[in-house]
Amino acid sequence: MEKTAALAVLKGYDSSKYYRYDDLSRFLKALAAAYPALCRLESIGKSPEGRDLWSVTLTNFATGADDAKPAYHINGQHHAGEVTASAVALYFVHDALTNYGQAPAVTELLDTRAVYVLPRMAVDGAEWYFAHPQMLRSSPLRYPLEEEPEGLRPEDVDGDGRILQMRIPHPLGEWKISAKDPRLMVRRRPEDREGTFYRIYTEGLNYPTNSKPQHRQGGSGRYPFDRPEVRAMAEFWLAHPNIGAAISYRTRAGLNLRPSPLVADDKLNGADLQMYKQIGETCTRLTGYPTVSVYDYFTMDYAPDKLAVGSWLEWAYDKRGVQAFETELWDFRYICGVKKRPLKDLKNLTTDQQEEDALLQLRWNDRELGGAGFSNWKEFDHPQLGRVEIGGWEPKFCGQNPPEKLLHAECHRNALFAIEHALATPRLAIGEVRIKPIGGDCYHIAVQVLNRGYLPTNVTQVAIAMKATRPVEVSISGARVVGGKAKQDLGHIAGRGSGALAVWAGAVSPSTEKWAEWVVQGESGTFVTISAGHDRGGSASRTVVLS
Amino acid sequence: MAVQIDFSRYHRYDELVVHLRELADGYPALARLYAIGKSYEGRDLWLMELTNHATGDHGDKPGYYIDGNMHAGEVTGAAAALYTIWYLLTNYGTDPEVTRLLDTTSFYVLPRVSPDGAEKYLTTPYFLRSSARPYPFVAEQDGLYPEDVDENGLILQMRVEDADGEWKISGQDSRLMIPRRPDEYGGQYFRVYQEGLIRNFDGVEIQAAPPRWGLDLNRQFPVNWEPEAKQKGAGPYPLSEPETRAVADFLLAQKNIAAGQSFHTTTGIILRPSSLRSDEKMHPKDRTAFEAVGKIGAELTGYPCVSVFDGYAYDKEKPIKGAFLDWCYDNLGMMLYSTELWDLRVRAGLDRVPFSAPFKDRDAEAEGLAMLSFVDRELGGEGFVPWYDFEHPQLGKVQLGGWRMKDVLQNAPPRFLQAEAHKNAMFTLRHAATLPRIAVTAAKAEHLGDGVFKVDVVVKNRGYLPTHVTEMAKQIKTAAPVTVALGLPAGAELVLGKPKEELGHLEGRVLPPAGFYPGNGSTAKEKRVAWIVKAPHGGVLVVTAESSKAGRQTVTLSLGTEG
Amino acid sequence: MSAVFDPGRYRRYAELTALLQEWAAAYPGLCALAEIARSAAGRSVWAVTLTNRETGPDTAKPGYLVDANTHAGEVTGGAAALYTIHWLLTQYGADPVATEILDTRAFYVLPRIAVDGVELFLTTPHAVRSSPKRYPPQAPEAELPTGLYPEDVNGDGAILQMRLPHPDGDWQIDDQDPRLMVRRAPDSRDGKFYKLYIEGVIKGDWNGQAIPPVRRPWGLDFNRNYPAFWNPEGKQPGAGPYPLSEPETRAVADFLLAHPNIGAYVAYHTTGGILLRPPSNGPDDKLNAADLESFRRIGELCTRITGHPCKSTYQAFWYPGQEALVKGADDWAYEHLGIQAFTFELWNPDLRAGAQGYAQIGLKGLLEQTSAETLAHHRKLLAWNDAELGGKGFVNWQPFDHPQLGPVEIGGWEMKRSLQNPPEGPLLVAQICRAAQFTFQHALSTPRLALTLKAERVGDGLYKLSAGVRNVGALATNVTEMARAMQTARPIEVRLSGDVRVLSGQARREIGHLEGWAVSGGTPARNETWVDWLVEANPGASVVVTAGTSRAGEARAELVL
Repeated sequence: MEKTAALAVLKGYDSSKYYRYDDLSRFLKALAAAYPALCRLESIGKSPEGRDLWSVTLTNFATGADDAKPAYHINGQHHAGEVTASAVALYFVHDALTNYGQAPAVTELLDTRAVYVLPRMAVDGAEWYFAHPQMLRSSPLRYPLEEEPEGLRPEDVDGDGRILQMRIPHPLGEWKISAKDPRLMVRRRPEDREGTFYRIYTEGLNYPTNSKPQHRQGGSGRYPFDRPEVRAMAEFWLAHPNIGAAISYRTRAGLNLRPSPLVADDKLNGADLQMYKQIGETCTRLTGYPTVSVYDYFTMDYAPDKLAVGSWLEWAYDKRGVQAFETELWDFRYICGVKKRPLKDLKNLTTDQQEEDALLQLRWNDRELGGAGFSNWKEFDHPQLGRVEIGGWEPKFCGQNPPEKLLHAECHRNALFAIEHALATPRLAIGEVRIKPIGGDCYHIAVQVLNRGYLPTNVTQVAIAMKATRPVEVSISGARVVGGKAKQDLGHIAGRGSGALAVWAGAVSPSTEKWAEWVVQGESGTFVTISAGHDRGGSASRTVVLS
Repeated sequence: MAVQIDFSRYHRYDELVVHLRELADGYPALARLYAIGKSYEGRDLWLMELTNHATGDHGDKPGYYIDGNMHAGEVTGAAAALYTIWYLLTNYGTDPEVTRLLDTTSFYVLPRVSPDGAEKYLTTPYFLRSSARPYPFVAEQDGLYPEDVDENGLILQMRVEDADGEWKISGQDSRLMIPRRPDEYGGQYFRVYQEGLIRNFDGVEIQAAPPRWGLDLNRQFPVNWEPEAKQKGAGPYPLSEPETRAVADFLLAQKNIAAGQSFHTTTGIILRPSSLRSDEKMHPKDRTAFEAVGKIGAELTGYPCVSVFDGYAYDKEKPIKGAFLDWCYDNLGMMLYSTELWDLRVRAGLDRVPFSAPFKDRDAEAEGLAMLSFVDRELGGEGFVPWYDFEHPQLGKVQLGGWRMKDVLQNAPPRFLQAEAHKNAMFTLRHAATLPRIAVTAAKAEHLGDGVFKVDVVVKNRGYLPTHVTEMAKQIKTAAPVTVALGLPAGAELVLGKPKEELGHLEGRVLPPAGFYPGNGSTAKEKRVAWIVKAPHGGVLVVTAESSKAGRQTVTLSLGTEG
Repeated sequence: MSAVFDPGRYRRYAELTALLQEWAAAYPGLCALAEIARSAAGRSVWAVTLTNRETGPDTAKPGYLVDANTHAGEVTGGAAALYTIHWLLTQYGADPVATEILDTRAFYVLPRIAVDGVELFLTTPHAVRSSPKRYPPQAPEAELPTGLYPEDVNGDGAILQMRLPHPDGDWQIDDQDPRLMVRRAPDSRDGKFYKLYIEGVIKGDWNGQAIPPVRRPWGLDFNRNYPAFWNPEGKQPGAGPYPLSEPETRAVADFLLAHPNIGAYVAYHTTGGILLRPPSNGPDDKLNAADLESFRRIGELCTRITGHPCKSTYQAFWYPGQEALVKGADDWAYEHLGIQAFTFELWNPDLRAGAQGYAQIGLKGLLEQTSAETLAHHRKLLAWNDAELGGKGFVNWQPFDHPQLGPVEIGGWEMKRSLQNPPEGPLLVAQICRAAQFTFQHALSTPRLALTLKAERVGDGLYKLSAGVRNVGALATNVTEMARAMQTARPIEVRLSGDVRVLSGQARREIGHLEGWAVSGGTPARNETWVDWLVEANPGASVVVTAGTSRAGEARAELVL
């Protein structure tokens, strides 16, 4: 595609829309074609159904190749139903490319760093999600936490294009209609003896219990997809050791998740925790999402959630020592004014509190969406169950993902944080170079190597412990080195974020520089080149003349 | 003139000091005698410093520490320490190994840590643990206090016939008292007490009084220290006693001391750290070294080498607290052994356990008979005083008798003393031979033109132990890393490199515990250091390498002229 | 002469010594002065014994100890100690509390332990933890390791902070209060940034390249030099070569051991405005229940009088991931001797400034504050400095041409008389008066034995003697259960003597310990017991009964049959 055509295509991009695979691909290709100096698009593999898994590389190639720069990684949608994630990723790519040269932050970002974006890993699942009414469970924050009976397969039995809930009157039912809003089902209380009670099922059909509901089968469900996707990520990361920080998007708790998924904060490395808290504050300021430890917020008394949430995070931080966040985009309930609660508290809500929360959501839906988010109960003659009523919350673009009118805001504020997070990565620079002739064509050379970033060159202490990063190396060439090793190992260099948190007397700034020295021998006029390099800190070099 | 010392007797304080003076005066080039402090009763704590001063100051050589008699009654230890001094001095110049040791190593020998207690032990019938300071009570309490009631110079045992006694006379040897069987009645039974007098006796109750001198200098050191209520003998606080404090101050100040030996009695066993933790918790490299050197000790002395916790302590729930051995390792990073000299039980054909070990699944009668037959054979029966009648002022008719504790059970009998001292002295010398030793090799200066020189040296550890001696010392930073200093001639300028370079530590020949396979067959013993200097020709550089525990070496380099 | 004593001042060693000697001379019957140690610089560590000798020697009375300035810079405590001595001496006879204390108790004061450190603190701009001697001792006196050493480089009499403009600086100037440096946020990209250093000079061989780390020559901490939970330097910075290695700390230990009558103890420190109690090594369940109750009761007493809260050292200082636990003389006194020992952290600038200090939210809480909360905290402190200290606590940034670093600005908190101690004058006096009043009540809560003796004629020349032994103190005669466990409080011994023949009962009896009325978990306290004898005597014979135990003093009663 050539540039003008590409730009034309991009005119069609709307950040308040969800895109299916073909549109997504079309925009990505157009962006690559329109900004060849800043963007490279490649496929890092194919999905089971043959779709390309796109990887976008963003950097100003004129200032150096991406692999010679510190890198940031954006892990877009990897759960079928969490389409907001890929919307944010696509928005980031578009925003970065179209604002380069105007917005100073973006310009610095692409000039000094590389960003790798995987907009959508769950390509097949997402496509299936768009195409079918079935809801794909993908968040532990399902609420109310209801269970489907074995053998019930969700189906759009009334053909309205959505799978809602079925309520069936039953003397032993667990639910009743709320006195405060007839649309709302509330738990039956122990003392409720008189009245109409209901059982609630997901809209669907009954099948022999040996066949599992389709959405639990491989290809699009959450758990089966986790492992291969992490493997793909592992391969990608091993090929890009310059990745020092990363973010992964999911829905739908409206939270910025930090390590650890497995242990309390006091088990974390103190320095790493401080960095996480500092960057976390920036995220909270820009996105409004609280930054919380997965362990504190999600730990429940049963394993699956523990395993499901933060498994990527655990791998990124505990195994690779990358400063990774996992952002839960969009919190419908919070938008509606429902208080954020850790998962364990959510389980202990009183029925009254549940009703209050639900009413808040209904009112917001009436106010902001003209009621579109909730379809009222309609009688329906179910082929198997007879007379039922079908209704309930629009599952996909209200609870799990924002309604399109709110998508842009979601994308924008998260892109803002991604830019700042990426700019916090370490960056090597060569500062002062001191040359002193000492006779016999020998020169003493002292070089100042700086880390201009917020994070240390190792990014995390875990990275050192896991040997996921190597020390800073500085070397000299062009003249005979007679004193000092030609290639020297400077260890790691702190970033400006490593200092004291408060200005108590005694607060001292971290030393963000190290020096290397040589004695070289060569005639006056000889050019010597000093280069510093580090996998996570990028590279820098300087050529000086002996005189 | 060779100094003559009779090693077949236990020396009193004055005799000991005389011998030390003779040795110091006889070998001024090798020996220096000084006091590191005073005892509770004001006796000097004499320490002999041994090294060939001609080959360098004692502080510039790796140091080896020896002490004896930290426990008052364990006088065999003092004998072994004194013997070691005598052996080193009298064999210098004739024995090449002794000569090499005194040329390259400094020995610090403190023969008697507890002179007050030892003096009381040797000059009175009393037994005491360490110091002669009254403790834990200044005033006498109620109960039975050991006394030489019949004034025969020995505090023995008293047996009182009593139908409800716990003891009876052995059928096989009438001297031997053995436990009465649980189901036994109608025989002749005895109660057995230590010979002594009872304070505030009501005519019925006889309970042992708390010790008069209950301090234990070997529970005084600040490692896992606990007060008296939790550790008998601990003292009011760590190093509260002048003797222990003097030892601690000396070892903390004498930073070249890397290893040592503390002589105790009895059992015939070489103890090594830890008393507090099992071997699994010890750094494998330290364990390898302790075991390898301990093996040499076992070959020389016939005594096995074990960790106190795994091989010696019989109550793992209550590890001893404040022990010198643990302090030296945990707080100083020293490689110290503590040998329990003299093994009467083993010589009598019994197993090697401390006398204090509980009698579980052991046959008291069989053991008693075995020891009696040994002393009859080897000491002509001197070891056991047969029971004899005595009219006790408080208890009336009793019989006195029993083991001679001091010079039979607790210490090597005089005729065994020198042999005991010799073989253990030999172990200390072999142990001292393993110390790290810094050497500067392959020093050269290359002229790069215009008076610019490249100076190059290799610093090396020639010892078996690493320059940090133990991994513990490395961890707690008690061993200073190896440094190389470059001294410049007048008018010279250092262009590249520091005037004093830190090299960290250098390994010795301790092989990784994994054992030998290609790849770990050798260790990182040496490091290369280079400087660039600008200096006038013919100038002389002085390179000094040192490490607190591995000594110090200086070489000079003259800067050659063109080509 | 005592009239001219001004409690609101920090005094140098010579002044302190003169005052103590003056008082000892002026009140020979109430005050005794003794030297218990000599510092490295040859200064005396003084011990003051306060009691009315006419009512008995100090050793025969329940003892109470106050010490100060284990840490050199915490001179508020020293001032409190002097005030305490002066008040007790001058109020004796006039004030009932002072009178009862000196008549019935032995009140000991160690007014200044770190004598050398305090002198350095008061006479130079330097700060020192305890003792101005080179530590760790490994470093030979000759060569200082390369580093940035605190010095008053601009000669303004204070060691503050230096700020250098730097593109990668981690600080920037607060937009609200230009004096205040605030942490640069990760995403703050434009503006003027600074690096902060301690005001000082670089010593050792420096090649003019990167600024070396800060080093302080005097790392020794007396309060890490006590035997309880002691660990060597490698594990516990400031520990010293071994427990009680320093003449000053050893003297404190020997003093406590030489006075088994001391049952309670307060060590003055700064800052925080909090009374610290055990445990320091874990949550409260580490503590014996009865001891916890008595520590709490006394803590409440302190809060009532001074307004300062009382928490365990662990509650105040523990934070996630903390390695070495905070510990000191008070821990040793409690853990090994079973003394009811507190550390009193005087002066609470945070609270005065309207912010929450560690005394309120714990060190953990402070560390968990967000940048915004921390900033607000520091703004409050500056505002408080302007309002209450007339701005004296903070020196605004002044340009200075640093001999090694070139142009810098020097400014920041002058800690010594602002955040670390109150300025001399009314603020100081207010602090120490209330603190001292607490120690007086604490001293009077120590156990004290009283005796009543009754005789009943039961026959010809036969008498039944009954001695009622009571503990009239608030605390138990063993003071703590720890003292029982550590066998540091001997049981009460009752002795009968006189011209009688004891027919039943022993003339000398040990009757264990008696509870105090304040600590019985609300149930009736077992603080009274009776001892009976049957004796044979002629009419007119006199009998004497004494009851005594180390921490509750001795009581005596006699009667004529």
